[in-house]
Formats: sequence, C-alpha cells, structure tokens
Amino acid sequence: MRVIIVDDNDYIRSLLEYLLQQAHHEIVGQAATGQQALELCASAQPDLITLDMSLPDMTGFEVLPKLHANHPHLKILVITGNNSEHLRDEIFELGATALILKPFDLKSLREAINSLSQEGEDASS
Amino acid sequence: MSLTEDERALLTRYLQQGVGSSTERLAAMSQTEWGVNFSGTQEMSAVRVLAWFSQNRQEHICVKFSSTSDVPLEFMIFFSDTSASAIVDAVTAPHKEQLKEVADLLFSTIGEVSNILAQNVLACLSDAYDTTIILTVPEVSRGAKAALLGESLELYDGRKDALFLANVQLHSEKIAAETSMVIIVNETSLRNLFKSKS
Repeated sequence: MRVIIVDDNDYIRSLLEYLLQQAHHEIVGQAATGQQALELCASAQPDLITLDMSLPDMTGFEVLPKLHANHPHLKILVITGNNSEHLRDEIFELGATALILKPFDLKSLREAINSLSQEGEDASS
Repeated sequence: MSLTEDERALLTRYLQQGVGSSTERLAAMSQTEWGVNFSGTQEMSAVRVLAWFSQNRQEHICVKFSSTSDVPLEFMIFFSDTSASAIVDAVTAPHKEQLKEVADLLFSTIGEVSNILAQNVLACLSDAYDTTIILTVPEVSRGAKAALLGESLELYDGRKDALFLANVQLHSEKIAAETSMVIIVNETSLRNLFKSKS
C-alpha cells in the first residue's frame, strides 16, 4: 500500500518507515504536524495513513475526522501510547480504521495492516 | 493544599498503577524484561520540591506534558543524563542500525519512553472515570533539576493546584535508572472528577 506516516517524533517516524518498508509498503510522505498530514493526504493520495494522536498543532481528535471526511476511502491506522478503552472507543467513532499501541513491532504492524487489507478485499468481493 | 487523604490516595494509586503497567510496554520496546519500584509518592509544596531538587546539581533531562482538558494538569518526568542515556541505549538496541540517522535520538527516544509512562497513568484515570485526557506532545529539555522544575512552575498556583512527587526506579537486565515524576493538577477539577463516579 501507499502510506503516509504522521508523527511528530523523529524516532517513531524512522522506526515506522523501516518497519513498513520491511513489510513491502511504499512510503509516499511523512508529516510531523496535523496540517502537514492534511495537505499531504490531499496531494499524495495514499491508501493508508498512520496517525499519532498527539501532534504539535492539533490533536488527533481534530485531524482524524477531517481526514475521514475528506478521504472516506482512506484507511487510518491510529498509533497511540494511550491504552485507555475510553479513548479507543472515541477514536473509532471519529473514523479510525484500526488502532495499535506504542510501542509496536513488525508483527503488530503487519497484523494491523493485514486486517485493513482483508477488510478492503471483503468489501469489494 | 486541600486535597483530602482519600483524594491523595486515589491519585497515588492511579499513578502507581499506570507506571506499573508500563513495564510490559517498555519490555516490548527494548525486548528485555523491566521492573518498576516506587520509593515514595507524596503531595508536597513547590518550595520543598525545589529545595530538594537543588541539592542535585547533575545535568538532567526533563520531559514535560500538559493537559488542558477537563482535568488541567502538568506531568513532568526527570531523568539524570546517565539514566536517560542508559534507557535510550536499551530501547533503541533492537533497531540500532536503522535509527543511526535520527537527529537527536536521545531526546526523541526519551520523549517517547516518557510518553508511554505518562499515557499509561492517564489511561487509568480515563478508564476509571470515562473521561478523555489528552496530553500535549512532550517537551524535552536539559539542565539542572531545580532549574528545569522552576521553569515549569510559572503557571503553578499553590492556592488552586496540588503538586505530587513520585520517585520511581526503572530497571532491566542492563540498567538501573532513577526518575522523579512531578504532577501538578488543579484540585477542583480533580475533585470533581473523583466525585463524578462516587
């Protein structure tokens, strides 16, 4: 899949880039702010975006519904350090397609993305 | 300070629960087992904490988060330079080669480790009280411990805010790191939160 990585942290972006490439996905852009994420999605037309919920200019709660509204077919994988069940419910209500917790590894990333791919196949069949 | 004994005990419990549950996630980051020990959690005056911190003149790294949601608070984690470097080495070891090009890896990684610790604590509160507490991105800075804390106390109001200090040891196979956690929380908001489910 064509992927945009959104996280303000250099370490996380580098790690995600490496792991996603290991899983044979194409990184078409990286963003460190919510505004950059919205602009990149409009120009790069990714299949998937990985989204951190804490960004310097706006929270994921502001970015997520905008992404979902502007790009209804975009798969949004939220990656968060917060393991609250309450938060998880809110995140899915706002339009996330999947969620994994930090720290993540190749296995958890692959499983999350595979579930998104399977969802797409089920929908089109 | 006007938090009741029960209120202080509740916040302490969530702090310890949240940090305790971080060990599994820290272990996943570094692919080694971690342990956590609390050597004390108490409500203190800012003056007393500053005096205590000023006794330690070593360079420290402070990671600070704020929340402006229904429960306004500041959450600060202090690591000595040595502890921070040891934690970062442990956590980045599994992907050392891939992370070589990351600018300022120490600050990035310690920010992310602190994010997991802080988010775990707030997740306990969120789930207990069905509330959403959103943290800002971590602000990471280096300096003398008391000076770092002093900078963060600009908005502190002793008439309205409670300050908690916790000393936490994080240890794994290769490291033993001591951290100090300072939480400043608006008393009224916290009290209202605790009452919301009583």
